[in-house]
Amino acid sequence: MVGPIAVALVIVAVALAGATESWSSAAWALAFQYLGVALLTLATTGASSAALVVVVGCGVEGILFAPPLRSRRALAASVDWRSRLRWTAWRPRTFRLRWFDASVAAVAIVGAIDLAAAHPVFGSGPVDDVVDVLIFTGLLFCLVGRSARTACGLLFLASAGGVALQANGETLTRLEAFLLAVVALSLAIALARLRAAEERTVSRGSRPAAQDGDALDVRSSDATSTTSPGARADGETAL
Amino acid sequence: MTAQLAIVLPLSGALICGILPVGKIGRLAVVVVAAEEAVLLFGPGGPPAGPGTPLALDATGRIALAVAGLIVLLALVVDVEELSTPTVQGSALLALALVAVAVAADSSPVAVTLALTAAAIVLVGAVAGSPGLGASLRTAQRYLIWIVLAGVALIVSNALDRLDAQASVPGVLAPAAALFVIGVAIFVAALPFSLWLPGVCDEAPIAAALAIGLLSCATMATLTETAGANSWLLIATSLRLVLGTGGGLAATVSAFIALGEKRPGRTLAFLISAGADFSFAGLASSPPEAQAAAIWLLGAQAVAAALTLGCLAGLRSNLGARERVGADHLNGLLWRRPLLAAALVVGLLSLIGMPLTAGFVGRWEISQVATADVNWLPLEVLVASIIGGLAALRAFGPIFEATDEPAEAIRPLDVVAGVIALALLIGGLVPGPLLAALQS
Repeated sequence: MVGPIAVALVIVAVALAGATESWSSAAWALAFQYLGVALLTLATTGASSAALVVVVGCGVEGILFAPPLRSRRALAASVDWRSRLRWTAWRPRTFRLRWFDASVAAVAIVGAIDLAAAHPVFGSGPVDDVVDVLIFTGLLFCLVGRSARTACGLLFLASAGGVALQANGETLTRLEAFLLAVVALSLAIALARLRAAEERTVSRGSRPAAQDGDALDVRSSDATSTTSPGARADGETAL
Repeated sequence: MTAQLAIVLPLSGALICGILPVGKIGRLAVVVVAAEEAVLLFGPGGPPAGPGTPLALDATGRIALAVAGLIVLLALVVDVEELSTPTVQGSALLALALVAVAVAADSSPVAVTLALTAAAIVLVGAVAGSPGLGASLRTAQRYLIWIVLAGVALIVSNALDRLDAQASVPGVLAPAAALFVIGVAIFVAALPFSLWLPGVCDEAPIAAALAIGLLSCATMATLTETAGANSWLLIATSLRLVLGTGGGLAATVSAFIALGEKRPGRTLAFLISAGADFSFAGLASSPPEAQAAAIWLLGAQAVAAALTLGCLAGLRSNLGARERVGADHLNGLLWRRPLLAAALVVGLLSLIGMPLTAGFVGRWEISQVATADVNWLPLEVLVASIIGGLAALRAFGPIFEATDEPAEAIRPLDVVAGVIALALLIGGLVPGPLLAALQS
């Protein structure tokens, strides 16, 4: 029962990342993805490995989406915590579904699941499904995505590698598990650095502020949203 | 003990770089790397790697780490001269620590792959750099995407390999081999998987020197173990033929592309790619017990690439932060900064495989040990070297032009570059002891 739920969560994650462009959608997509991978790891490898996935997921979300450390007074002045605790604060105000992108992502998901069913490599269905879906969509997002989607694609690929390594109940050594976590977290730090550089580029270009009302993006509240047209133009087709 | 020290020293340095104010860390980082070199040269030998000792350094590992330390030292000296930046220094030291983990943990191919991937990702800090100093955002993004693709390819290859070892699954080895080749080819920037390199070389030469130098060194040290674990890679005759021939052809194509480039940084990138292709061809075409030639060429390549890119980065200190080094900036370099120009020329000669340099020894040895399956490899080596020489002459010829500008005082970078160039020449003149250490 856990396997299908894990696969469903991963599919929801990649569909969300594929159908939208904002960083707040990316936060949700990554959360669903790490939850799915943690459930799958719990079923195949054990509780300790699943706990590691959860910790890494929290770390990645924290690095990419938490507000930067400031003094308590400055933080209190800049963030209205009461409003941030509401559901609406985490929902993009202009959630625009991109139908073409969504259809391309859907094709990739269906193709990956079909390949996993036709040529299972890791023996059990859910592992093959998750690995294939994450790899196919990760590659797709790296090829055609903009900043937020490319970040999701790269983190999906890293997760796929971790799941593949622990397929068939293979337990990693302590050093390997530690290094796997280091890879994911260093990737998140690198992506956060590039995101900050992109924000600087956009703010230097004096673009209009936050156009899509990305409520999660606290760092851009005093500058501009990363999903403004300038950012899109710069982050497009990075490969 | 030596392995642990080799990891802890740069790691501590990287942590200190994050704490201390900018002005003080430049020289401290240089001291940390110098201490690392001393530990590697004079530290006691440890027990061989095994299940009980996950971290240990053999002779090849020590040589590779010493070379990596030298490359980081060069990059740090350039950075201190140009603009002391904690980002570059911290990234370089952290990457050196992760490379040390990769080299010391070579009994576990999975750990090697993960440490190598992490080291490459950490270098994004150096590529993106400080505002006005690093590469453009697009170049940094491209670098990150390619590096992650390489890491994931190697991780999945390892997973498939483990799966085959656990329960022999039919049809798994071919994709594992393909992914292994692609992953390593991206890391060492072998054409056609080197698309991340030209932009970084042109826009952020320090970061390019660090990335190509450290990744090549780590690959050099770990290739024997990881390729040894995947012994099928070296046994399949058809695969050896494809890789041997393809590597030689790709090297020739890369040299041709270098000939068409006008910017020195991009020319260097394609010359580096040609050398990496030959390393691949050598690895595939030589018998499993004679891989020292390919490993030597990767090491010589790493040093020469870092030297030439470091010299190029050193020229930026005279320019505006965002200005890239063009052929105009090389005019009369031999008369303005003779030591730096001489080091740059030696690095170029080694990159194109001219006699009396370490690069030539690698190419010559590869031609010698190539099996009968790939008997045209020596011809490809010759053609690529000639075309590469023409490309280098075209891009770097202005070094020898006369100039009215006065000679500049000798800087620390000139001295470090001169020492590294000397090492390349000594490697070319007396390769015996090092080759014997690699073969053992």
